[in-house]
Amino acid sequence: MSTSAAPLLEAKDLVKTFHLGGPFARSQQEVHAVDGVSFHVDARETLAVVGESGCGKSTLGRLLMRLIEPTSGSIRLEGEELTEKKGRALLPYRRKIQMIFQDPYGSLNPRMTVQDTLADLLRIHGIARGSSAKQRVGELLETVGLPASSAKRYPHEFSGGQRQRIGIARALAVNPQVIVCDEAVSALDVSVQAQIVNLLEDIQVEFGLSYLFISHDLTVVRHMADRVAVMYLGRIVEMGEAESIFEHPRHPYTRALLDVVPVPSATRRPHRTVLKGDIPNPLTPPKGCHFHPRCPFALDRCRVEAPKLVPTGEGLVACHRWQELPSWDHATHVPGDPGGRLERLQARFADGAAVRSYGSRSG
Amino acid sequence: MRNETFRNPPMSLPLENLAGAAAEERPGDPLMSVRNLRVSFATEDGFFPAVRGVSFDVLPGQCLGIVGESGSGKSVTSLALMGLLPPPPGTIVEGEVHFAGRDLRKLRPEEMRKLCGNEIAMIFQEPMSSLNPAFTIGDQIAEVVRTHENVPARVARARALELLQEVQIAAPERRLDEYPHRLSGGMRQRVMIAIALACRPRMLIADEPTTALDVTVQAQILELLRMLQGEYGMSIMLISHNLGVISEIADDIAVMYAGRIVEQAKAAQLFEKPEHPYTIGLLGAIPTRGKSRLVSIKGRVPDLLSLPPGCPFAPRCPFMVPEICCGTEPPLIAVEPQHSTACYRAPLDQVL
Repeated sequence: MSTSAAPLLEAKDLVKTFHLGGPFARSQQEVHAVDGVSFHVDARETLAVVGESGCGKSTLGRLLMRLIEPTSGSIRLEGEELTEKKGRALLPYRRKIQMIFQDPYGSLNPRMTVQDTLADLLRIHGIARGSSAKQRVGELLETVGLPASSAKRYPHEFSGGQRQRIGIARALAVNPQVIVCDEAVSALDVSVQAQIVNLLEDIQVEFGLSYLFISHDLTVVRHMADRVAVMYLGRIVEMGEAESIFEHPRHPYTRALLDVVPVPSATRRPHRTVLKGDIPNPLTPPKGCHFHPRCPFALDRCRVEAPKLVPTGEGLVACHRWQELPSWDHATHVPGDPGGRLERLQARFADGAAVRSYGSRSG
Repeated sequence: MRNETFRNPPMSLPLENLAGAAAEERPGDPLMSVRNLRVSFATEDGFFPAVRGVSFDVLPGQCLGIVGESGSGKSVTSLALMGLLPPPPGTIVEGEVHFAGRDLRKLRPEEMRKLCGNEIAMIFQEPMSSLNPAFTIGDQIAEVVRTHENVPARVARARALELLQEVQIAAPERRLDEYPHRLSGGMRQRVMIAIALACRPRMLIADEPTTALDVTVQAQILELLRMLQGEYGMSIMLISHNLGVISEIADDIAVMYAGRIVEQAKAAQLFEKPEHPYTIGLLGAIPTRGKSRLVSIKGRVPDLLSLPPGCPFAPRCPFMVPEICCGTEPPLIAVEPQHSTACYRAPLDQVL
């Protein structure tokens, strides 16, 4: 690939190993939280990283933000290597890549008003000061659907959904190109989640953002993602266009995940494969293919040799047997009823969606 | 002044309606029947009406799913049924709870304690907070067995092993002597289910039993609940914010909003032809394939201390007509057999 076509954000062979036990511990243990992960994110696209707890998806997000140092590997933003940059040299990079967390309350200073939090950020990055900062804070809040007057309030005065809007406003403050969303909508109630998902989609178009969308919730991922990477115990096991991952999953783990996503529907799905057991302890991952102890298709080869990510024509998959697996035809979606009663009734909520909604707290 | 709405409850409640519909379709009485349950919490700002007149039946061997968002009153309802409300501040203000012919509100504390665990059991979202970290799994299950049955320790331990096998824990013999922190979230929830099953209860109340678990483990737990329901004819009351989870095992579904049931129907009926605008919005808010934009219900859940007059959903409802909806609170009435909704504009086909 020529340099002119360099992707916006690129990670290559990223590895993060955590060492457990202090210097005096009797035994040193290692967790390969991220174990040789490579991917790229193009401009204006959403790459979703999915997987169960302990698969390393959050560690991956933290690595990209340089909140933790990678053990090895490279992270490039617009072709520029970032793993070597430190301190002040990182500041311009931090403007380009921002993060939204699962728990917005934990990521806001409870003793600072929204105005102070956001104005600090604008000052540190040299974007605005004084009255222009005040005006910018107001604009930011309105962008995320909060009244400009809410700047005077403290984080505890907002509901969960409103706090997540503040988290989004903070990420937007520095005009980033990429936002890492780490379980950004997972803790929210369904109706609030829908509002935030819509907001994320709106600002993506408005500001030309790319998302690295980390989530365990496959229904939200299906809605948001252009491409999907499925992780299992620190490794990507399948990656490809969202449509192909959801319609023709190749990896047995991806299939198992899709099979168990609960979908509200009038008809109960008759066929499903429920995986046995839990995710193995990451301290002692299974040899060979990490997934083999839970895989219904595992052979001897899978127990000794770790499969590499290979192109399938539609994407990448890390499975020795991907070509031999039976075809997958489980529709995971609710059969649509385009133009039906429910859809027409739901369309009546649409004007409400266009108006960015917020509620003011009484008292 | 703030309590005005609470002190003047709407008069009409659909009791006859519900009971009538159920009796017609199925012979046999409901196992649990709740009528006009009201729960409130004393707060500095006045009485907080968390549950405002809820009525439902749980039929033998069936699963009732209660779905609602945070603050809808679904968990408070389940705690009230089990007599687990912290008094004060929580009190059952009004209502009847009948279980297998007995009025639970009239039972003495000792009788209630006997019933809970023996005939009704409950599991919660966070199994770790229900397990004692200082005792082994085997001891904790055996303790429950010995509390309800007068058997020697050896027998109780054997029974604990059986229970662990029943909930399909891997290597059950080893787990008996392990402490809760050694188990994964899914295994802890299985242990909780084993404890709940210890006395073969006729009814299990499961409050968000899979919420903190990974999807694959969630599927295992739901499978287990479905198996228990089928095998032992146990009734289940499943409380969840996730309509997907509810649709996996519920036979009937009640949707709660602002402390009341706003729609109640057979599961298939609710997903195929929902009648309450809130249910319709909620279904639209769930991402599914081919949905270009999610339905966004404007505004947010009302403050129960200062509810708007009339329908509590009216300020957020696209079908709202001020003259009709903002007077008194709509009662839950049947639109079809076994399908009731608390909406003045139902059936909604007329507004399309």
